[in-house]
Amino acid sequence: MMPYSDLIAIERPGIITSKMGVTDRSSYMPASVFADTAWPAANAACYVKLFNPEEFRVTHMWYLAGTTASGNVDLGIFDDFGTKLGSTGSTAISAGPLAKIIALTAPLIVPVGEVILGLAIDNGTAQFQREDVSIFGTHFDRLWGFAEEAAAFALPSAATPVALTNFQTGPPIFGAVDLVY
Amino acid sequence: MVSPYEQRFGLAGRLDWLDAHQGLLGLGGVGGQYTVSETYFGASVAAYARVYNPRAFVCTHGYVFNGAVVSGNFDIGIYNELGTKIIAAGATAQSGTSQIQWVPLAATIPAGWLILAFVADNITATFATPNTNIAHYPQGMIEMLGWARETAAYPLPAALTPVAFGAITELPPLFGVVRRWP
Amino acid sequence: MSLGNGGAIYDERVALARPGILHSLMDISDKMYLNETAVPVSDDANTAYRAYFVQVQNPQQFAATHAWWSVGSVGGGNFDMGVYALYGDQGLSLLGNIGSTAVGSTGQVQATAFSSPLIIPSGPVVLAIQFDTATTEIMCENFEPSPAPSWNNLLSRLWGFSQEDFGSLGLPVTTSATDPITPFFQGPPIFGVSNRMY
Repeated sequence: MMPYSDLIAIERPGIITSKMGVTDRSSYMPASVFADTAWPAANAACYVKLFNPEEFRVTHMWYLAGTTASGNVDLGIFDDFGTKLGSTGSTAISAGPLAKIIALTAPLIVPVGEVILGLAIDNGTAQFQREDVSIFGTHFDRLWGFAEEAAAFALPSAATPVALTNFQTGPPIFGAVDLVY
Repeated sequence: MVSPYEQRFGLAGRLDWLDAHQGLLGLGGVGGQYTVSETYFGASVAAYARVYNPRAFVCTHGYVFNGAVVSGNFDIGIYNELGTKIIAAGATAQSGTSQIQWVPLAATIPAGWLILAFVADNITATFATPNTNIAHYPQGMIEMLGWARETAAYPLPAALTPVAFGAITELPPLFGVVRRWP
Repeated sequence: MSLGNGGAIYDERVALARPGILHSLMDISDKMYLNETAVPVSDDANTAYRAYFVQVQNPQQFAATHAWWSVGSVGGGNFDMGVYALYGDQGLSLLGNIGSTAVGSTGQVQATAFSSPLIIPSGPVVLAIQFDTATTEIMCENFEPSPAPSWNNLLSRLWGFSQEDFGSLGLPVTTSATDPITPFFQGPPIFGVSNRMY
């Protein structure tokens, strides 16, 4: 074993984001700004699968909210099989633009390995902030590991993700975090 | 822009995805700039990129970023560290402007050093490519960043014979392989 | 090596997404946002026989076939490049170098083969480049807004750059690189070693 073949540790422990690891694999980042976008389909969920390198406790989830508030949001974490590990539950949306941090109904330990983050909104009026990737055409978000599910508010106990038909011009930006305060 | 939350090494965040341009931002930001539609740099000239795969996986698709004009055919594949072909799609008609084109590509991709390969059979086809800023990519830089090319390589050969690029205007498209989900 | 869950399938070595390359800028993007839209600039070597060093972390052992640097707007003279192992208070020990080499064409990357592939161990290593003139120029990453020289010295030290003056061309077998005490390059010079595919 090489002496420097150590445990992989992220430089900012205690947080996972829907875009983590992308700049490793996708050096061609779009030079764009965040755009306010209405949730494309009422009760739809957006999922992203990613690898969590370090087990840690999650107390809150977060997403970037847009200017217009309406209805409710639910954020959750699923294991690699799509089984829900925990969620915030339905929470009234407040206006952005800013990061909304919502406590899980109960803290949970996110295991090392592939996990799925989920975000669902119960209406098509509330806005989220997306990174505008429309310049790359469609399917880009699928390359980044995003999927969706219709009629998924509140987030189901078992996710059934399908290929994107929405969010193809830019996914929501969200994640999970261990807040110590 | 590199997010402060990103993990530089390949294992965190995204598994089972190999992109020909991966890791360039970690080499001092020489990646990150692009053009969305550029004609292919040489008919039947293959572009090779050495990458590191942290975990063996079953690939489902190759992909390429098409530009504003589609034309002719291309081939996409993967070679092992010794330059022996693991799998390639074979002749594939380019279709779908200004979007990612997916190509079925089923194979078990081993962990370790690999070479991604792409070749188009004409120079009318357009693809997204990294920038053509001479200052960022002076002559000779692209080879030091893990790239090579080969002429008369359509469809992709059984074993590659890499050589240097001919000019700084020869820039390979954005392409890769992935285990697509869902 | 365990990643916490004891699962062997994740028991992978740390490695670069782009293997077989050590680059003077490679650790910068991680530690400090680099404005990659700025165009690199050409800057001179400042002092004949001064060697410039940069410490980088090599996550995975590999064989380097070439040393390379981005030649600036002014050529002439000769240079040497090499890689050192870092042994704490014992200083730097030369793993290998290319020896005195004539500076090549301006505005290009000059890649020079090692006499035989050089095994670069994993862990901290130090890349080094030395010129025998004060006027030869190397391309440097540029930052907007440009920092003042004093600020630039601090940045250079943070990024692991240092220097040492010698009386002749030829990287020494052992050395201890001193801190930069004079105005440094406008930005980090661009050089490295790679395992070339052909």
